[in-house]
Amino acid sequence: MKIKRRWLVSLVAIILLLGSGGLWWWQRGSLHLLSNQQIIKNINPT
Amino acid sequence: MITKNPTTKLTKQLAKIVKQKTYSLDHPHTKVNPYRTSPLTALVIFRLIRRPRSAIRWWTRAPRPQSLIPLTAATKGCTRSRSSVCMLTTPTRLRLKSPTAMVRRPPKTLTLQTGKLPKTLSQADIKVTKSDQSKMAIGQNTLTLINRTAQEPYAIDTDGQIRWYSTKWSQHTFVQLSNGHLLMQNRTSKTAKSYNALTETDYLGRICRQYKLSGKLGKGSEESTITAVHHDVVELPNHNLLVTISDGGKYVEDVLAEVDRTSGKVVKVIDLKRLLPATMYRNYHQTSSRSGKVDWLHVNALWYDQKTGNVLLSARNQDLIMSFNYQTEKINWIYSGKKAASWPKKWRKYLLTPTKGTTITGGQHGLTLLSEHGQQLKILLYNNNINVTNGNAKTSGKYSEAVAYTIDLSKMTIKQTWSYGKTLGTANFTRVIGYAQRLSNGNTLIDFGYKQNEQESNIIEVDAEGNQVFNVTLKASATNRTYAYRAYRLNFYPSNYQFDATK
Repeated sequence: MKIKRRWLVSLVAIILLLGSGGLWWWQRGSLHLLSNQQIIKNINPT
Repeated sequence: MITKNPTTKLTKQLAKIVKQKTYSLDHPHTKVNPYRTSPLTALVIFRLIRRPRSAIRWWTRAPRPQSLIPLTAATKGCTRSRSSVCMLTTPTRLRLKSPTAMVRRPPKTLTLQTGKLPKTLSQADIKVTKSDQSKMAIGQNTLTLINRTAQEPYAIDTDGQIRWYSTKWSQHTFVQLSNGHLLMQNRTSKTAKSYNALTETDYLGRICRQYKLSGKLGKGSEESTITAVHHDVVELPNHNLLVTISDGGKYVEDVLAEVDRTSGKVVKVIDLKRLLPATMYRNYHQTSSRSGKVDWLHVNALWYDQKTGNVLLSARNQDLIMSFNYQTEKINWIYSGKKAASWPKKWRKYLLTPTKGTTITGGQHGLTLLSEHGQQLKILLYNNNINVTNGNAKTSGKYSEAVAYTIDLSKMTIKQTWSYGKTLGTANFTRVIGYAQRLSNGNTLIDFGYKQNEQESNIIEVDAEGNQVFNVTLKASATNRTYAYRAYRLNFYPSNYQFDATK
């Protein structure tokens, strides 16, 4: 029973983590923000 | 990225002549426009038998007899001498004299012939209507530099005579660096339409370094071509360059980048979208861009405070000025006409409250820090006074002015302490462009760069009481974009500048 509960807690934690990460990613995408690495890549001529 | 230096070959040729030791003061080697980018300069190479007791000085005579300008040469304590001479005029012949005492011989007179001014400069039709030299902040070797939105940057004396220009067309950025060199924003070639290069050069036109930036960055709202470093550059304490740039994404002119001075690579970026609320750029429609990109911020002036490590910036399209720490990226203060209630709560603690009678800025340019004492900052800017997003709708378009403010950080207040321009009314209103520079004697040089809707630029020097001591009008071409983006009073032989033809 204890093992089941632990699994359940871990699963919920993973879902929450992925969910918040996904939400952050979606929001970032909707704002069209670029990462600093991408900006540096864009500025430096190729 | 650092590009190939076009003046390396000429530098080697002239260094060879210096090392030959064959030229004397009686028969010097002279070269007008020695590096082919600065036509009103000359290099004089000669060898002295005795060491001069002090730096050799050359004198050039301007058209009016009273305009005798001394030029200091970098030749103190050296028998192998070469003098860099600039601020000549054209097309008249000029005489240069070295004073007797220095070399224990009669004054030496040289005659140098410069070429004609290019049409792009002779069309400027420079008209000086006021020139009170006794009250102007004009010392030895000091000229008024005019950096236009396109074509040649040039400098005039108190009579309006062109005494220096560069053949390298520049745009927006023209900065005097701590080593006395100049940093200009140039085209990468004579046929290029974009201004994607930063060039470190000296007054004789010898190029030290040239940085090329990506040609794929977004166009700004006012630009038909891409200008990578769109408005301003400041030198950081480590001598790297902090530049205003676009990130290549949906938004433009809202990113700062630190360019390594040695490698030319971008080593740090600050995306101002991450410092300010998303509501400011997510639904921005106040200005439209030719490229379809969102120019919500339009950073047009930078200042780095060496004492605190804070950056001050002006953002035209939000009618906003602000300060943040460069290392921590933490905001110190924000000043704009945007109502406190319309800011998200997180930002309200940074807002400065204007005292009674203090104007809010509108589409402002050229923010400079004048002084800093404890919690009090004194700043100067050019307030275009146009209501872009958060400006004053009631006064918008009626005048433009230079304004000085005192910021009290202990009370988070801002107080207007001085201004000039309101009395000139709509005649000197400029929708875009402009600059204000506080001079050494307390006077202020103001560039009403986009006067009469881009037909002319009017540069005025006023004293603290608002009396005009210098007034010059330059004809501008809307097609060629030759209005004066900034005007500076500049020393052409600063003490930190050393010229050595052999290195």
